[in-house]
Amino acid sequence: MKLTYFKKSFLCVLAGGTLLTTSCDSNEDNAPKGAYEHGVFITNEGQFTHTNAEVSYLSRDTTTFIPELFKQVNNRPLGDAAQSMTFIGDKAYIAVNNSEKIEVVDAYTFASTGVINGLKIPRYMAALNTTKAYVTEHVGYPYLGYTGTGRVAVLDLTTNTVTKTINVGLQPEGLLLHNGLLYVANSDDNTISVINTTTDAVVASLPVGEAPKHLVLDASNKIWVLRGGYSAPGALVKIDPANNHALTTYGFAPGELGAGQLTINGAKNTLYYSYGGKVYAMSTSATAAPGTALINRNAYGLGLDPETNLLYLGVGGYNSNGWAVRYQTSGAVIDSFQVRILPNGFSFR
Amino acid sequence: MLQRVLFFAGLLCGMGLLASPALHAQTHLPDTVHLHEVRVAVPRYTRYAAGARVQTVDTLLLKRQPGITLAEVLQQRSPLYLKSYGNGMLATVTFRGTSASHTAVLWNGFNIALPTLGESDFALLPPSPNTTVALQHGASGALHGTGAIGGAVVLENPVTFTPRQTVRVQQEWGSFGHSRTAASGSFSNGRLALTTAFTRTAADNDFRFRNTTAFGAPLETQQNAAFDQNSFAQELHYKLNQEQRLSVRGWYVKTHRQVQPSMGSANNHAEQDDENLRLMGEWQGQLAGGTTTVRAAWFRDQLDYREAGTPSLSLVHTYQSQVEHERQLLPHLLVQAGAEGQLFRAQVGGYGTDKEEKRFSAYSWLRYDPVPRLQLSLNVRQAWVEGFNPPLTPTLGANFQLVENPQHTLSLKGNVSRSYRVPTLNNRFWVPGGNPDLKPEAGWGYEGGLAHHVKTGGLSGTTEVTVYAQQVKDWIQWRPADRGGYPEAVNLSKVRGHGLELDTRWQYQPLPHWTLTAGLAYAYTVSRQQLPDAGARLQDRQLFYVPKHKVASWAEVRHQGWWLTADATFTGQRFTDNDNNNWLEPYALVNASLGKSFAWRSLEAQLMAQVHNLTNTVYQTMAYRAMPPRSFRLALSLQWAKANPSL
Repeated sequence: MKLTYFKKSFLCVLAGGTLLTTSCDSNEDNAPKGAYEHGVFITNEGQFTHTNAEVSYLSRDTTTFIPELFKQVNNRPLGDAAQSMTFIGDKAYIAVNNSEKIEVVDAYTFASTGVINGLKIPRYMAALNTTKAYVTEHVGYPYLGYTGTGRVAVLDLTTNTVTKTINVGLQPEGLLLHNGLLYVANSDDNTISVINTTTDAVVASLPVGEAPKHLVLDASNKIWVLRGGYSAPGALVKIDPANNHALTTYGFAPGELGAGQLTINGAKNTLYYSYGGKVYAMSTSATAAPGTALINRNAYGLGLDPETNLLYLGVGGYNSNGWAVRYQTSGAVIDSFQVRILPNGFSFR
Repeated sequence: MLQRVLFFAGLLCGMGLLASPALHAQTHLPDTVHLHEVRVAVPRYTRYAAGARVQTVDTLLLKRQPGITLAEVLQQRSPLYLKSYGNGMLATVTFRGTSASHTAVLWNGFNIALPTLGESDFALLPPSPNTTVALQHGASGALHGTGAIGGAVVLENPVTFTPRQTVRVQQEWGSFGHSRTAASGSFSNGRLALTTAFTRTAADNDFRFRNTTAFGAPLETQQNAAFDQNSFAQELHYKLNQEQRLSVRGWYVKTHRQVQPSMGSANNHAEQDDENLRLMGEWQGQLAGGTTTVRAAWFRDQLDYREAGTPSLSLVHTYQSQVEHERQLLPHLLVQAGAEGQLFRAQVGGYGTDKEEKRFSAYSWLRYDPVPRLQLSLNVRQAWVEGFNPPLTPTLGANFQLVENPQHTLSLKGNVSRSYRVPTLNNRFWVPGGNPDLKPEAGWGYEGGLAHHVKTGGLSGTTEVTVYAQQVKDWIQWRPADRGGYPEAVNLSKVRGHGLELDTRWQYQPLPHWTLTAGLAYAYTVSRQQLPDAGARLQDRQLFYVPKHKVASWAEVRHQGWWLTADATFTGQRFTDNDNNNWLEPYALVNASLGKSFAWRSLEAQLMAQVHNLTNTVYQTMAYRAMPPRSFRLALSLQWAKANPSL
């Protein structure tokens, strides 16, 4: 390492040009590209209609904790109802649903670099590459009388614009890219929409059951769907993309209702999900969904750091500071950090 | 901070008193103490509010600007904090650092808070010009029933049979598409009295503001903030004989609003339509040595909100009835006993099915003046609600006159009062998350103070200082349900508060044709709940949107048909979240108006010019809800009054 650094420095000196100095100063191996290059980013949804969404930052060694990162760096509020945050290349994209925008920030400094407007209630993002991405949009809320379809917007990340919208089912939520296809969970429906990313057209609709919410991909390239509404018990549904999208359902026991979040560990062989106000773990090779919970706590947000294999739970109320609580994957609590209102997700970098 | 407030207060006092050597008597002095004055038109409960702080609001504003909403009146004339979501948008009022649902609003004896939300939108309340507005600060469950935890706003339309015939029309034009039309008439022949009032207000609210939430803080034109409001009020009073009268009152308000988005939120083109119809009948008779009153009311409250597709509808029918009897038991002992029943029928999308709730309460109020210097009141109310019972709410209050001479009276006052709030229909029935097992909120309030009246020569004034402490238990909040995914109503927190209130009003008449009036109200408010800090240690946190300091002040000079009025308010720092992470900076707001009236036989014309937000202050009362910059209004009114032959 030291040697590499020395060589690079030497080259810089040899080149001698001022133009090169900059690139040498931000040397990837030795000098950080920004204060927030690595760490845990906690999305705080904030109070709906209140413009107090935020992103909190926690360094992995926990020595740096910044509850209001966006405001601290950019001197303005993030917006109204942050839904999710996605790292794509050198940028982070924060979907702010009731501001109907995606804020774009530098992934290392968190400085605002742009905004994507022209969206309707943006929820979650997935990127095909550093220039093309997809975002699910609710378009309207059923409780306000909206009965139309949801959609997926195709984004051009070089111009920060919407290039196309694709109608899907009702209230599309989580989405996943795999093998040239985009899988979209229609959370107020019973289906997963499958979109061909070459033509950006829906090519299939998979009937997975009531209220699919989130998707992850495991080590053997199976797609897992967490689903469940408030009328019948939910389930984990395994989709085999290599076998004509064959479905296997791992039903949950009656009694509890309400699917929350789904994530997977770094080895991609253990699923972690929140359901009915508890957190469960399930091996991707299990034959049935677990009967007992790993953590008896309601996780509004749930994340697993693939680097450290620690679980993060977001807990708290609608009008006061929430908490990011760290757990071992055994279910043992480690510590907690006071974040902002409604921590609903975690991004690791 | 306190220094700054005191400086501001002093400045305004000085401004008011020095502006002219003379003033006119439009200040309404509070009537809280003298038993023999009770037969005049003061709110019926006032004589039972010994030791409590009841303040009448200067209703000159209602008369000069018919159609003005209570939101605007209270912002200019009270120390209460108004949370306003924009000009003409949702506006709620809090007393003593409680929340909007802790403010009871009564209209001629009936609670008119929307039962679904349990609170009143003060932008939907344009009282007719003959309305008296009284503010009771502090807990008063025994007098005003559910919701009177922080205080109560009491609207009454007094009955008068004084012979008269008047007609008045008014038209007002203003900046940002503001227009207001008013017409009213009043008639009485001594036996029948009729009052009619109609107003229409509309505004585009297309003002410019700096969007501090967007990159580069661009100047933008406010979008989706237009509204129009029509109000029609009718009263009919008929004297059956010397002992009995019948009254019918109706008040219909229809408001269409675009819902102004906050700066950081997308313009979702939301619109809200409110339609509030209130009808009541009242019979009052002097029977068997006492006064008996029977009232019945029917309210129809519709609130439709829509962003896209079909609207979200909520319709509530409220049926209420009250029976009360008041009599003088002894020369110095007055007692009133009553009972009321309420039935709510709610058709709300979020409830799944239509819901009904019945509520009853019985109360007994007692006023006793054992010696002329001492007035005591003891009131008690017990409510019954389907499924649970709120606590018994007593009140004990006293006034004691320390000094009484022709120039000065100085009284000591004190009051202990319990209060309650029944959970709202939304709290109980919303699916999912409504919680039928909620307990009612309950509070205690303790207060004491001094009231001073002075009258010497052309100068008269009244000053009242009050200190109080209060607590509210089982405060209902929404939180994420244990089962996740949706909000759930729970009895969550406990809030404690204390504070100081100062209210002073003066009038001065140094020369026959010069009158000067001025007033100032100040509130110091501490209202706290305990929340964990970053180290999970519980800390006292000021409730959000409760300024520690608020000052409202006004002054007016009148001279031979001319008047010049200015009002100024100062609002201190307000936290915008319960953890006190973020806040809004203090601001001062000044309005001014100049008017002239011309009389010609039985005709009178008035011309009035107003400047709102004179100093062009950028301010918000709710975070990121833009408020209008400096704006202007011009109004012309014509009034015809038949000369009264009996006078």
